[in-house]
Amino acid sequence: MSKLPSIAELILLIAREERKATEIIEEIKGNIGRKESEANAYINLFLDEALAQAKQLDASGSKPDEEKPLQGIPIAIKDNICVSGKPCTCASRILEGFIAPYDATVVARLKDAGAIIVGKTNLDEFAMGSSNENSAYGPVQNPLDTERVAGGSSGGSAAAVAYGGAVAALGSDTGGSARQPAAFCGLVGFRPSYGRVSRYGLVAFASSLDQVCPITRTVQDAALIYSIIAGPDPCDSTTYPAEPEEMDLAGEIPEGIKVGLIKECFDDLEDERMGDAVLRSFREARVELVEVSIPLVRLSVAGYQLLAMAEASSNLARYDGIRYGRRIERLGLRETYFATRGEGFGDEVTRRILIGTFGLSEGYIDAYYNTALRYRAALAAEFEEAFKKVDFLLSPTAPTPAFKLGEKIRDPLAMYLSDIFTAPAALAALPAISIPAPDKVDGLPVGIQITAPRFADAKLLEFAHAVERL
Amino acid sequence: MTRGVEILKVAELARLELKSGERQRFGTEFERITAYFAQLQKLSLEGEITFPYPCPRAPDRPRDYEIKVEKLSEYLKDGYFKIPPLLA
Repeated sequence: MSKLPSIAELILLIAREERKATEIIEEIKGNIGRKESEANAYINLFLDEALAQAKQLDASGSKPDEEKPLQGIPIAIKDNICVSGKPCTCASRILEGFIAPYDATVVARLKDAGAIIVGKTNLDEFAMGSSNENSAYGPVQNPLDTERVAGGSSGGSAAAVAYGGAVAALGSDTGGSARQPAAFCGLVGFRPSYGRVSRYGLVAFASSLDQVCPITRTVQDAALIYSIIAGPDPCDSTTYPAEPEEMDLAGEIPEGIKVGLIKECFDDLEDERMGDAVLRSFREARVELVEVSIPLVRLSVAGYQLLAMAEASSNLARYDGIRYGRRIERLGLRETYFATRGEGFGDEVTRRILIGTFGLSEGYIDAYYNTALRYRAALAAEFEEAFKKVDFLLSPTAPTPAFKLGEKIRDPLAMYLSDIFTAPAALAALPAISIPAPDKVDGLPVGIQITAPRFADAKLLEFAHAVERL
Repeated sequence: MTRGVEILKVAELARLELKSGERQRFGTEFERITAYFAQLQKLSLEGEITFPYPCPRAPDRPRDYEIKVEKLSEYLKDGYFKIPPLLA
């Protein structure tokens, strides 16, 4: 596996003139040449353009500084986030030929900070999946074990960072899509509080849950990217109006921190080694561990999927063959809509649109969609109660390490249940981070998930950074 | 099927053309998945339905856009914008 430096290390290397921007791109190009055909992490690569940008930077002698902290740093973008002038496929046949007419706010902010966009990464179609096997561009393999999934839906972003095809990547997380692949690939995946990061230019799947997230090698890198992409955006009225708070990554766990172990998550683990791997660092740390019960997390997949599917059925109504991408011509307009959507969407997207439409339909909306909304409010209230007793909540990121390719693809419910520990924070709009545990299970990485109160993103990153260094 | 709900009816609402094999497969999965989701109905969930956006929404702020007609000129024909045909 490649030993690409972290962003923080690269910034120092470039500043000391020990590494040039072109050398980093060349190194990434070499890693892509060796690993990409197996991993299938990228849908589109812009390496020639990236190299030209890097050459220009080296020639002008520009280095990372306060104004451009990411000057020359190569970053990959999940292919459901718009990069102006580049295809945005969402790994779907229905968006074939669609070119993004503008930059997503997060992309514009990364570019303003000097980042070089190296490519668009593979994903489950429209970010719907937990294994990156639902892509029209083929599945992503986990670079740590190519018989296993990289996780999903941001599997391409995680795999690219894991094998050294990018220094860091942006993913998106609707119910765990950045944290779970990060856990499966031994990386850091940070989901900010809902509203902290603009969704403008992120193709909508479930608008009340979607968030853009950094996937990185270290917590420090995640914090750096977060500090650049976070903040209010007039183009997204759901962004929180206040600027994010300052962070101090001193690396020490403050005195008196109380961490709650989510009882239901640990009790329901089929393999105790998962829990042990998560807890080992904390047993040696200066933190008080207490058990906290949040009973409603056990049904989080039902609540999450119902809401996400309902929102998806509405958001994806726009793909009718007229305004975007692929069109299957039929004699009438209505027939064209049906044929385009029938052929353009893959199985998982079709399944979710069907169930979402059902959950919103007359006669069923109260029993399904409205019940899920009530569930969401009740779950958020349980979290609020828990945070009266503890500073952070702890669980494994996923119930198992990376599973085998093909293991769950024919059982949609089993696949949905792999999000059972990540969905609760998304439903409650809380910030949560997955960091690699020091111990592995069967040689595979395990993710430690830490969840914080709403808008305590900076405190969460400070704490996670300290835990990472234990 | 789930209590008389036919997959074809839902597909019609969702504007999706399903092939015969898909109807059968999605129908079977549909029943299993919605039965799992229905567990939520057994909880005693009371109270108001909260707004689905979990964040206070900022008011829309109009912005001025400079529309450069010359940039769109290749799509202008006889005073109208030319768009691709909806149907061939």
